[in-house]
Amino acid sequence: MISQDVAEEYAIAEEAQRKGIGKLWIPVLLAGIVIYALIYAYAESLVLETSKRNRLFMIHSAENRTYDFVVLGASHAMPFNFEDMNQRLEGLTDSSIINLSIEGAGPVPARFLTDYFLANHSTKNVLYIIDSFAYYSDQWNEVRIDDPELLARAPFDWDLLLTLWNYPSTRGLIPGYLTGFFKINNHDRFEPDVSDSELSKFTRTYRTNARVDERRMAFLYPENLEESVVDKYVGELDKLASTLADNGVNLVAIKTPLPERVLTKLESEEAFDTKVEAVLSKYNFALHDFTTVANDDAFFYDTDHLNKDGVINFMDAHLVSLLNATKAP
Amino acid sequence: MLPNSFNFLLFFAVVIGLYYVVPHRWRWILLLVGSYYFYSTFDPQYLLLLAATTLVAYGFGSALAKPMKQGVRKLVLTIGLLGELAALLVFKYFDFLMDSLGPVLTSLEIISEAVALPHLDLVLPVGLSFYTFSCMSYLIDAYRGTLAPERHLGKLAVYVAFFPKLLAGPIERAPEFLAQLAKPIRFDKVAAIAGIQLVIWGLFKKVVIADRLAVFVDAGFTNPAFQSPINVLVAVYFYAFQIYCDFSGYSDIAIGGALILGIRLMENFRRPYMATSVPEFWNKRWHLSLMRWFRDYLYIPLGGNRVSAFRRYLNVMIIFLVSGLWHGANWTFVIWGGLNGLYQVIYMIIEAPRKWLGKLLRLPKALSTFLSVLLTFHLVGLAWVFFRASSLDNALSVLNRIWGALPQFPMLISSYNWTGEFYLSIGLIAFLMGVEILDERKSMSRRLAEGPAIIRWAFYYAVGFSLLVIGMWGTQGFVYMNF
Repeated sequence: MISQDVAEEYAIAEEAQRKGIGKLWIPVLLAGIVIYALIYAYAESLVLETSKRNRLFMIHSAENRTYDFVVLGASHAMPFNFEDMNQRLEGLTDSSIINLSIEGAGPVPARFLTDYFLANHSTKNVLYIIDSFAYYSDQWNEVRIDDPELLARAPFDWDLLLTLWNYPSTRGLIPGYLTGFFKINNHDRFEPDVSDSELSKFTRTYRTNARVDERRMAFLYPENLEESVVDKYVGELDKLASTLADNGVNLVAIKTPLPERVLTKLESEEAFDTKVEAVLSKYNFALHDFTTVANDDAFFYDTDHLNKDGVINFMDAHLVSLLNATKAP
Repeated sequence: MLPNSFNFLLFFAVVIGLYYVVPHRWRWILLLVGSYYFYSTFDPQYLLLLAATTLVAYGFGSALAKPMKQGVRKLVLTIGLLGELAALLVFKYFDFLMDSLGPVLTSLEIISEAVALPHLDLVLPVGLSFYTFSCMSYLIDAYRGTLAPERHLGKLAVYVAFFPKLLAGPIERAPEFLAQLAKPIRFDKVAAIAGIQLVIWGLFKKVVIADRLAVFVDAGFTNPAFQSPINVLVAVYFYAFQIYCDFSGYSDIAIGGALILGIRLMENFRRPYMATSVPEFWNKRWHLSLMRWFRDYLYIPLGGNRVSAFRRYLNVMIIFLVSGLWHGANWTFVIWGGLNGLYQVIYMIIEAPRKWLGKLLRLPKALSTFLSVLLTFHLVGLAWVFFRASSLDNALSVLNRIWGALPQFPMLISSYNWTGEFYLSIGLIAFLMGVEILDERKSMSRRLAEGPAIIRWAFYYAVGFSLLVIGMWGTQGFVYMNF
């Protein structure tokens, strides 16, 4: 039916209905199923071929062993996995590390990834890079994991299906995941999943721009903070810490360096840190604040993300010793 | 909840399921609750406006049913229409009026530059222009006596808010719609199949074609002065197809969706880019429900064709300027409407020279039709620039960018970034036009119905799997729902 002339199209449909497809319906249906199966299989093979950074893919394809560290967090944790930074950190600390940070991910996505990871793997420690902004809105939490793009490169896995079911905000994604729709419909199916930040920004040095900074800060840190929202997501951190403690995993929470121009505008950080420390201390976990170290603009590729020099400098000066100390019995 | 979303498909499936289970006398409740729920997913506050618009139509429609003097009837109608227009005036036109009046009052020194006229900064409720026009047509029909005002407020509310057409029409007429609502409707397999096919075809046009072209269009219309002229040209051509697939795609989904529920809505599009003239484009092919509305409620009352040539030209210009304003409160829409009106006036003025030239050239019919279609497409496409542009400056910048680079186009084409997405877009446009050309001669549905089943199903599968594999799901709303 192509035309909107309902009367005419109805008559044609009636005629087609009378003729029907007779005995052809079985081969027609089978052909449809076969085509679908072939498309699904091809999409799945493309996922295995092109995926690199997708965290669900990384968990699915990770070696089945006990890791020393799982890195969780939002975009401030991602540069530690750009280029060969993760291998560098592994070499310097003689550890096995898997970085599962996701852009804009708050404690709910961190819990989601941890649950999926722990279903089939184990780790001794979790290095959680904390960002206060990720506790200020559901945008960085429930909404963030209700994202078909995360599943566009996730190989089929019953554990992931179960994890999706366990989070109310991701249950709606199950039909799309089960049918393979997110993979079949992935428009970047032929491209490797490497972020623009890693491809083109990581080695740059930011030329400060007050207007850009202002927009970014307004985006991440809304003026009228709702304490109840912060408390809700600090509660999610509590659940994460509890899960890790139950599994015998040590949690090391850190805050990475931020430039002076950003730090001065964060007015609620102290109150936020107090809440986080109160939760972590319940499980004998600690928060290490590195926001004021190495906050030279030369160490950032944009308003607030560490560039390659910044990551190397921070690793060498602080992170390696912290991880080594954490590993020590 | 956009009609091109999974949630809508789920919602619609639930409504259909319940619709054929619920007894006929209760169905209006289901449709009303479903429609109001659907509308509330955009913003629950809009429900008040939808309900108020319906109540105004009901109240004044009922008043018009009572015997009264002609002058009083006219007054009742006028107040009712003003009541309906009030929402449009407040939500859509107030800020535009203030923005337009400000400079005029300043230049006349009535107010000083320091004085800022008030601004409401209200968000335009989706579909407002559509359901307001439905209510207005109801009142005018009641005044003219062409319909008996509906006594049942709930059923009138369903007519106004019927969810398949709520966001962007077709602007259905009350007599046809309410008559269907009154009759018991049984599930009709043929209607359901025809409806599903039309919904899928509409989704294909929207999700596979329109939203894919939108990426090129948005890029070309953003800062055109800093874009490569070829990008801008591509954006202009693609927009003609984007707006068609977007809007007619919505109409397909609305008409198909209603048909599954056993309700027939009016035709809104008939292969518009096959038009051989601008008048044909508007009168017989594009947004037919709106054009019918303007014809019946504005053009004919203004005298229609039964007036002097000058008055007719004036009437056409009035219709299209008002139509431009109906689309949006911006001078770009007024110019878009004005251009389309002007094309038609010129077409009427040069009727004799056109015929003379036709006789002189004696071109083969196919060639002459092709050239006419091409010319019409370009005239309409030129006007679309103003329709799409964010401002007059933006529109002029687009046109300047193309005009200024015309001599360099051969070189620019050779250096254009021919991406896979571009080729795919061109292929999809070619497919669409191929279908429309075939449809123009003999209904594509009939061809498919008459042909072997295997061909028919190959076509269905091609469309269905395209939706799955290359559809741009959940990316964009429909352009016309913002009017």
